[in-house]
This record gives sequence, C-alpha cells and structure tokens, in this order.
Amino acid sequence: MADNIKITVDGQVVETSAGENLLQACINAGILVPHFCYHEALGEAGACRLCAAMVSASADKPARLEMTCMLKAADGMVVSLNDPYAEGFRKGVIEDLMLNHPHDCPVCDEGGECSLQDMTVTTQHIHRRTRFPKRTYENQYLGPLVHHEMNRCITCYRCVRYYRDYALGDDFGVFGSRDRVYFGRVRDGVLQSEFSGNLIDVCPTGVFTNKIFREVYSRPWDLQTRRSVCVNCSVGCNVLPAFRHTTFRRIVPERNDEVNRFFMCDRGRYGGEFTNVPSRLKTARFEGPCLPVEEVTARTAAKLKQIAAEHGGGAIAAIGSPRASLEANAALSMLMKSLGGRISMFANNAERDAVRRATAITVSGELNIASLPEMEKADFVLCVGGDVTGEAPMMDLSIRQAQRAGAPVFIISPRAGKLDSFSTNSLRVKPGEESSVLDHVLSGSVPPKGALSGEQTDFAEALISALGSAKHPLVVCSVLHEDIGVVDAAYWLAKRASRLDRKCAIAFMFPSANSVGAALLRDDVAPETLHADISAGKIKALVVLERNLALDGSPFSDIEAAFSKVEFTCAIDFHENATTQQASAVVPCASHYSSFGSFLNYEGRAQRFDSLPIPGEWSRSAGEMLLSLVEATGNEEAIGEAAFSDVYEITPESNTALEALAVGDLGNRVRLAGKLPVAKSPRRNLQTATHNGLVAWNIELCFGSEELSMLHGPTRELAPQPFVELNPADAESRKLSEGEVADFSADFGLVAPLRLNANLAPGVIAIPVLKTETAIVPEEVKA
Amino acid sequence: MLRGLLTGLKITAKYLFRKPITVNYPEEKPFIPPRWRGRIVLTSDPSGEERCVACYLCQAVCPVQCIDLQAENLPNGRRVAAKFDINFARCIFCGFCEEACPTYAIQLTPDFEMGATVRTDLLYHKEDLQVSGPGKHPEYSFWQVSGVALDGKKAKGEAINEKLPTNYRSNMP
Repeated sequence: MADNIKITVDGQVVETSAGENLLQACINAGILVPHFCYHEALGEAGACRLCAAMVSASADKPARLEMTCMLKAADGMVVSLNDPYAEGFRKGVIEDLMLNHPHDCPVCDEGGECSLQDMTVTTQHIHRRTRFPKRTYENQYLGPLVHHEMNRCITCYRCVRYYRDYALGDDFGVFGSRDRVYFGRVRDGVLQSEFSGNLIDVCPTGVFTNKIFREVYSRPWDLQTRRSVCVNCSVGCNVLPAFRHTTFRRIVPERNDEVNRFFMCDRGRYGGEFTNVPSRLKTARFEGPCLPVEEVTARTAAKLKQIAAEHGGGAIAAIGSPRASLEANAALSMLMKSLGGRISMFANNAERDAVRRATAITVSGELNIASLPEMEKADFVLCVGGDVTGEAPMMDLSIRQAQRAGAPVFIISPRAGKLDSFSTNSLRVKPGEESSVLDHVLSGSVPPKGALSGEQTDFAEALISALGSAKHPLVVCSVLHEDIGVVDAAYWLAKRASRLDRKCAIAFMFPSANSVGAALLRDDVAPETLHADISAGKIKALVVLERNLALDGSPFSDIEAAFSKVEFTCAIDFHENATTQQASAVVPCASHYSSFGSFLNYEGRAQRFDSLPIPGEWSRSAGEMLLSLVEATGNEEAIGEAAFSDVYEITPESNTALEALAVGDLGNRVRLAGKLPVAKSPRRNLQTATHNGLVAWNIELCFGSEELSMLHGPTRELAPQPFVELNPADAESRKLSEGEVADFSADFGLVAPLRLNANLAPGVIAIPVLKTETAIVPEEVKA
Repeated sequence: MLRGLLTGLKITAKYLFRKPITVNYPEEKPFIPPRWRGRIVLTSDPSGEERCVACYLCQAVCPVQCIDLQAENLPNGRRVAAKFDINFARCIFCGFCEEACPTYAIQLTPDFEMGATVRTDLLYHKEDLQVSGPGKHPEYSFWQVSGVALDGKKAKGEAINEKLPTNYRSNMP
C-alpha cells in the first residue's frame, strides 16, 4: 500500500495504513491491547478507558496517556502499553469496574470466555478494597433466546451500539444516567430482532448469555468443537458447533472474511438444536424389525439389485436432497448410476427450473455475485420478489449496513417484510408482476401509458434514477417463491445495469443450504416426471436421502399413497419423520453438525464442514452410509475413480479446487462447465393461480419456514400460529374482519385466523410457510 | 565381621525399648490430622442446601481428570450439579479441587478407609459425596454474596452487602 506508515508499539515496529484505528493496528500486528468497548464491526466508543497507553506523536516528543481506540495511526507514533503509568491506570479502571461487579463468576455462563475475567486476572486485582454495598439491578425477560443478568454490566455500550446502530433494532436501548445506566427493553418481552443472539457475543462480560446453553451448561474449555457450515439457509455462515458428553450444546459464529465475519442470525445460532431432537434415529430397520446397520445395508443392496435384475434399471429411482452435502448426493447419484436408476433433486418442476436458472447465472461467472462483505459496500440495493429477513437473514443484516452507509434500498415484492422499514422506495405488486415492472426499468424509458399504474411508474422512475448514479449496485432476488420469471427479470436488470465503469452485483436467495450443489447435479430428472412414473407404477424401488417429502411441497406430499405404489422404499435420514415412517427400509445417518461434507452456498462458494464423530453406528455421515450401500451392490470400483466433475456440472479446475478444499478455508466459487437445461415454464406456476380473486403468496418466516430449525428447540417457540393475511380492502369486500377465523378451505385448503395487512398487495392472500411437524419419537426410544 | 554384627544388634536393642509408631489397625485407629487429604465430600451451606454450584473449576484443575460433572438450573434460580462423579480409582488426593472451589463445597476429609474389591465401587456419585454439614468455613454461603436473584426477584438486594435494585428511571440525584 502506498499509504503505509510505521508506528512503534513497545519497541516493536508495526506497519499499518494511515488513518487506521490505532487499537486495531496493534491488534492486526498481533499485539494484544486490552479493550472492552471497541469492536471491529462496531468501532470505538471510548467508554471503557481500558485501552489506555502512553502515546507520543514521535520519539522526541513527550508521551501522554491516551485511549488508543480514539486515535488514528500516524507515521512515527510511539505507543507504550507496558509503561508503568499506563499499567497502573488500567489496573485502576479494572478496580473501578469491579466495585459493583457481582461475585458470581462460579455461576456466570460467560466464565472462561469473559474479557472482564481475563483483565481482572491480568491486572492482578484480587481484593476489593471498598466496603460499600454493591449495586444491583432487576433483570428482564428478553425471550427464549437471551438471558439477561444486568448486575454484571460494565457500561461499555457495545450491546446498544450493536442492537440499535448496527442491526437497526428499535426495541432495546439504554436508560438512566450516572451509575444507574441500564441496558434493556422498555418492558419485559421477546427481543424482536432476528439477530439478537449476537448480543451474547458482543457483550464482553456476562450480561447477555445463551439461554438454551445455560440450561445444560458446560464451560467452554470442556466443549469439543469442529468448524462447520450453517445448514439453515443458503448463505452458508461459518459456525462452530460444540458438543459435550456426545450431545450438541451450542453454536457460535466462526469468522470467515468472505462470508460471515462477526455475526450470525438467531435461526442459525439456535436452529442447530435439531441435533438433539428426541426423534433422532438410532437404529436401522428393514421391513419392520430393527437390525444392525450393516445388515440393513446388505439387505437393501440385495433388494435393489434384485429389482434392477427383474424390472431393469428404469424401475429404480432416488430422491436426493438440497440440504444434503455434495458428497452424499454424489454417492446417491453413483448408486443410481451403478443400478441404472434415475435421481431427482427438487420438490417440484417450478422449483427445479427456478433454482437451476439462478444457479446457472450464479456459477457461470458472467455477473458479479455479491458476498456478504460486498453487499455491505453496495451503494444501491434492489430486493426482488421475497422477504430477505425470512429467506436469508444474514443478507438482510448486510443490506442494513449498506443502508446505514447511505445506499438507497428498493424493494419490490407482494408483501412488506422487516427490511421495508429501511427502504427508500417499496412497491407492492401481485406475485409474478415484479418482472413486468422491472421490464420497464430495463427499457430505461418511461413506459407507455396504461402499462403500469401510477405507483408502479413512480417506483420505476425512482429506480432508474437511483441506479443511474450508483457505483456498486446490487440486486437481491428470491428463488424460494419458485418463479423463474422473477429470476430472469433480476438477471437481465443486473446484466443491463453493468456498464464499462461498473458491474452490477447479484445475489439469489436459494431455498436450501446446498441448493446450488443440488442444481448442478448431472442427469437429474424432473420431479413431476418421476411422480408420474410412480403413480403409473413404473417405479419399483425408491431411495430417499435426507428429505421429509411431507413438508417440502413436492408432488409426493401424500407419502402413504405414493409409497404404496412402490414395491420397496428406503429412507436415509437422521430423524424419524413422515417419510421414514412409510419407508420399508430405514438407514440412520449423522445429523448435519455431526457429519462431514461440503456445501455450495448462494454464491456457489464451496465450503467444507467437519464434525466430531459421535460413537454409534447411527452416527456416520449420509455420504458414508451411501458409499457402503454402493459397495454392497458390488460396484465399489466406480467410486474410486469418480471426481466431483463427473457428478456435477463443474469445470475440472473447480473439481481440483473442491478436492483440495479444507475445513476452514475461505472457499472458492465453483464454475459451471456445461449448461443447465431449464424447461420453458410459465412465469407463475399453477399452484398460485387465482382462486376467488386471490393469488396465494407464501410468507417465508425466519422462524417457522425452515424445516430443520423447526424440529426442536427454542426456534419452535418463536414460530407463529397459523394465520392468513389479506389487504384490508380485500377483507372488506369479503366481509371479513381482523382476528376472525377465515375459511379458505375450498380455494387454498386452510382455515386460519385472519390478519389484516395494509402492506400486502391487493388481491393477494399471504399464507405463512410453517414446517412445524411434531416430532415423532421412534418406538425404541419410547421403550 | 563381629563388629558389624554388634553394631546392628545395638541399633535393634535401641529401638526395642522405644514406643512403637505403628498401631494395631484396624482395632486401633491412628491419629489423622484434620487437614489430611482423604475422601472427598460435598458440603452444605449454613442453611443446609448444597453448596456446589457446578462451576466446573474442580474438574478443570483436576490433574488426573477424575471428576466429571454436569450443571443444571433449579426453578428457584440456583445452579447445582445434575451429575457429580469422582473416580477414586484415579484420584490422587492432591487437594487441588478443594483449593479451586470458590464456594467451599468440595473438601477433603481425614477419612482414608475407602477400600473396595471392585473398581466400579470406587466411582462415587453425587449422593455418595454429599454430606449434611458445612465442614470447614461453616459460615460461608455463596448465594448470599453473589448478587444472584433466588426464588424470583425479591431476593435481590436482600443478600449480604448489596443495595436494593437500582431505579434507573429516576432522575433524582
């Protein structure tokens, strides 16, 4: 760097850039400066006074006591942390902070990872000299996720700077004055932010702690951790799941400078509780009785071979999973290849087409795909066709950072989400109409009269003018609503908005953690083709990998009816669900956080995850289980030579990178080798056709719409009860009122209390996607 | 040679008339000093409730990893050990656990008579370790000095040397 400067810290010469925060410059050089209130993401506040050091502008100038976090690094600066005066000052600060800090470290959940504890030990503060009584505070109930113990507060203001200034929440704040400062809510209640769990990480001491972890508390030094990747959405945040006594305990975010850096959402942090689900499968079954896994694998392989011999390979099919790893889906694909069978990955044709189109755009390398840190730097954001908060929460947090930095946020979707309150301009349209508005933006001119409503024209014009002046524009588009038209519209907009002097970035929100990987699988058949074959009785054997077909909106939803037409069905999953209950053979596998593999996130970034092996034959990864099945069919030679690029549509270079990928790498983006054929489908699929003057719109909720986080744990408590939403005008014309139980069983198959939402497009009925299937406890666990 | 024999006999004769330091155990009990590091117990606080707060420090400091515990929270706000196992087949009676214990819960006693014929009998569970008295430090009660609210909210400010909960909504000086 041209602006490199040199500073001296305790005799050590440190290179940094001019204007860098002095404290951060020291930390970057590996020098530990004690601090509480400074945080790399939140910046400095100068509140804790702990980063004090003797600082002079140059060696020949007198030094004076300064807070390093409040200074900018300048050439020739001399910093002395070890100066006795600075050390004494810091010791005094700690003694002051400890005046009222309670004597509860033995029962404090921060113990072992507490900055205050570390500093108290470092400054050798062992005796409280004052005799005055200690201050106490009442605690607040902050919901099922975060525990509040206000006595421990040292008023560093990190929590309120994070919650209000960074995450833009408005239901948490600071109250009082002088030594009565209080951090909390106006009154007890559930924290409304989807990012409230980060309070636990930003608090340098134990005011905010993990309420779930504290129920079965263990010290951090006893936890066994391996680096993993979050499975609860397509962003793929790096996480550190922790186990003890072979049970799952907690998840904390792990830094990856190209994905999530410091924070993660509550769905990811608390969604991992599915690892401890009571319905965890621990035994294998074959046509009834529980048997050892090897026995079931051998019998299943024999059965599959027998069916292949009798009816030919065409009678065998498999259903892969967009939340299973690349390795597991590849093993399933190899199993099918060895038997001559077919594999299908998606819930329905509309999802398959939309995800494949979005994947093709993502991995073709034609457009810039925005990573989360790049999203934060965007100076124009357009969100198309979905609710970012519910579909990819961490993208929402990144967009909020862009908005804080002054980027205009445009949102076009049928229903307002939480991000809408920060938007510059937000437009409500009927599902599928997003593309018609964006088409006019594309043409770059004023649309002909009558084509758009006045509101839509205003939006389009504002969009064109804001986009024109942006240097780093970003388009975020939802794929969860299975609308290929919206995907195309977003793509064309991003393509046209890219000019010589700038590239427009794009990011798609995919339905599952490994949707991109699933879409890249070669030779996958359309789910509706497979379903037709099953209904016609052409399929004799079906293998289902990590999928609960009852919940994913596939044509196989009536599992009993579909499976009754198939002679033999085998399900591989980690927990008992509607699918495993109907299957003739069940093979248990490890749940996500105790298995290894790789995911491709929404950017096509390959990330490998690893986990602690838990003893038990039921705790092997799905990929391993499938490979043993392939071996049992006698085709193990095929596995040895197989490469990722044989199974997935990726270039040989991507294959090499994927094979060399290690756990904890930043991850490379894979590149598309050939083409992903996508059927020409109508812009809206049939299931959302108009009934009774209304078009259905799925509300994707942060808590409720993701299958795994709804299996177990506190995230279930945060999911709402079923409801339907209508625009007040629509409700009035149907003579329905707020709170009334509305009967839409004829058209949409549901009866639920009605909510009126003025921020819902007219003519739309919004229905939340709730995947709260009650857990099924297997027989052997009950006994 | 004779001289060597006589020297040995002289020493034997010298000790023959001294008071023996061995005792006829088990009929006769030896004197064990009170600070002897023998069988480990979990004591109770002055109110008779268990002292251990499952802080894991004894487990962390144990050089032979003979302690295994798991914390749980009681509805009244106390944290206790749901499981507290000491494997005395492994324990070396170093006393580090007693030193590390912040609540004086874990204490070593002068009892050494813990012989067993089966190794598994040397695995002591929480109920085997708990005793009813406070042992050393009879006055100390951790929950009275920790600032933690027990039994709901009212306990805050009622423990030793702490103020009533701060009214942060007040503007008064």
